[in-house]
Amino acid sequence: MITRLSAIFTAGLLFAASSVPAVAGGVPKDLPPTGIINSVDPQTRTIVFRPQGVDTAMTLPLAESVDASCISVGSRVIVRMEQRDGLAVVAGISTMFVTLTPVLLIALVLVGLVGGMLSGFIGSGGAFVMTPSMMSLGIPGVVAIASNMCHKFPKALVGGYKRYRYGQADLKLGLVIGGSAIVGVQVGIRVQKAILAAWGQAGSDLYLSLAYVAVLLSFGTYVLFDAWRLWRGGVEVKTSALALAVQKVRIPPVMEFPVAGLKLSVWVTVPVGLASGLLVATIAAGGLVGVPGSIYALGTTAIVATATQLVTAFVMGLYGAVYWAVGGFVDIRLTLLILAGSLLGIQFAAIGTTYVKDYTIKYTMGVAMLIVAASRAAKVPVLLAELHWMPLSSGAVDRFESVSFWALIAALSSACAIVFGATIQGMLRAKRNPCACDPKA
Amino acid sequence: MASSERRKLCATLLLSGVVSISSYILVFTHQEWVTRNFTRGGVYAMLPLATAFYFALVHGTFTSGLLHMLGLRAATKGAADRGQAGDASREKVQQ
Repeated sequence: MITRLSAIFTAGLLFAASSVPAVAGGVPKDLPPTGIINSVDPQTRTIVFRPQGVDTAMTLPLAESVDASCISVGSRVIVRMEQRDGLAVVAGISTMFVTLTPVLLIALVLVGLVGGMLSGFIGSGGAFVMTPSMMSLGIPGVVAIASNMCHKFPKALVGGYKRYRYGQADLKLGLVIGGSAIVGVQVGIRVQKAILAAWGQAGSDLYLSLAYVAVLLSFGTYVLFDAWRLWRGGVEVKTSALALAVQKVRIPPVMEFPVAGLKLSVWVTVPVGLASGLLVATIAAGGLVGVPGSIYALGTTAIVATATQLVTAFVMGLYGAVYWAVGGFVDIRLTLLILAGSLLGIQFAAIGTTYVKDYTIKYTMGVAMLIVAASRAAKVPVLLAELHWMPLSSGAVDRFESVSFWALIAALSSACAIVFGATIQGMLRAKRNPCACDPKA
Repeated sequence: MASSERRKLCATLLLSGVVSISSYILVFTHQEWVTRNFTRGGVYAMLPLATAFYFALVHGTFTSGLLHMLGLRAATKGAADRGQAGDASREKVQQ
């Protein structure tokens, strides 16, 4: 197993390294600067900042919003620069490495466990759950994204390999979709930057929230409806009309995907990969469109789609991890703590998938998507108020923030309860009646 | 489970557990050095990537063994052990 995993890792790393321009060009230029603040002058409101990897320090002016008395000298910080009246000023400073208290340590392992269970069961849910949770625990956003991305590829590798051994993951299909997903990530990053430049941070956050709500609400409703139809038993699992039409396309190159049992033109997988990548760059949850895309547009089963998504997640995770690691943003301590929980969660959930039927996976996914959509929808009025597009009292802002937070907690708890309940129920059923343990039976 | 298989599983679990915990202790008792050198960027990017991969292998082996010891095993164990692909997944295409 170790030899195979090492071979996959090496191949993936070479692929990622050759495709990330940052490796050849040094630290990516579009990442925020990090370094050490040598001194602060409260009178002139300036700091002496030495960027990481550079010997010479520079003097930078502080924006009015920055409190000079709260700046820590001598520790590694991330500096957020902004243009004010044609001058580059420091608009924000955050300490790069958090102090790990026992509570934070346990919280990170639990966050990893929940994220791992979701990823293992529905092929997605790691990043869109874990990054906001890590940020709520006081970790700077950029470090949370980078550390989470670095944990994503080994977790997806272990989970994907496990489900490949169960005969569920189609390696070839996952790698093909992963290739176009990387292009999608690049497109998504450019869209994000354009929105940030046009509307600022609040505009970008509003765009993210609206993208979340639109995607999760539409896909979530359809997936849940489909699960309900299958659960009622009136309808058998059958390939959608769209997938049947897509399977007839024979534009070369045409590839055979043995685990999925499909023969497809590579071109028909491109929209699924592009959409996954776009969503990864936008809301860090490629699987929420990649899995339904594979089921309804390509014609795989839910079990194969969620397992194959882990292969795609490995490709995208490795690509992202190289990017963030080259920039020096990965706090390996955080990566290892969430990995400790997620490896247990993803393997438990992978076992769980062998006991459940197709509709259980769809049902879990639909429930998680709709509650997360509600969480993001509660954020929209707050962001509209920040942009001065809608009046909102501070009390109302607090209430909406609270609804958003608790909805996310509800999404996590209910998805984990379903995964745990379905797995244990399946195991007990299998114990009572060995024939019933097979989901195909 | 046969006793020889169980013994082998126990040994793997114990070994991977000890290696995993030792590795975690090693990293967290040298936090300052690790965070300073692992965030240098550029070619030093290999350090966090290789470390994450190493922990995935060691800790992954440990958690896998732990679940197995707790009696949590896949329903399609036979096919899984042989590394055979495409049982549950193929039902759809044959329709």
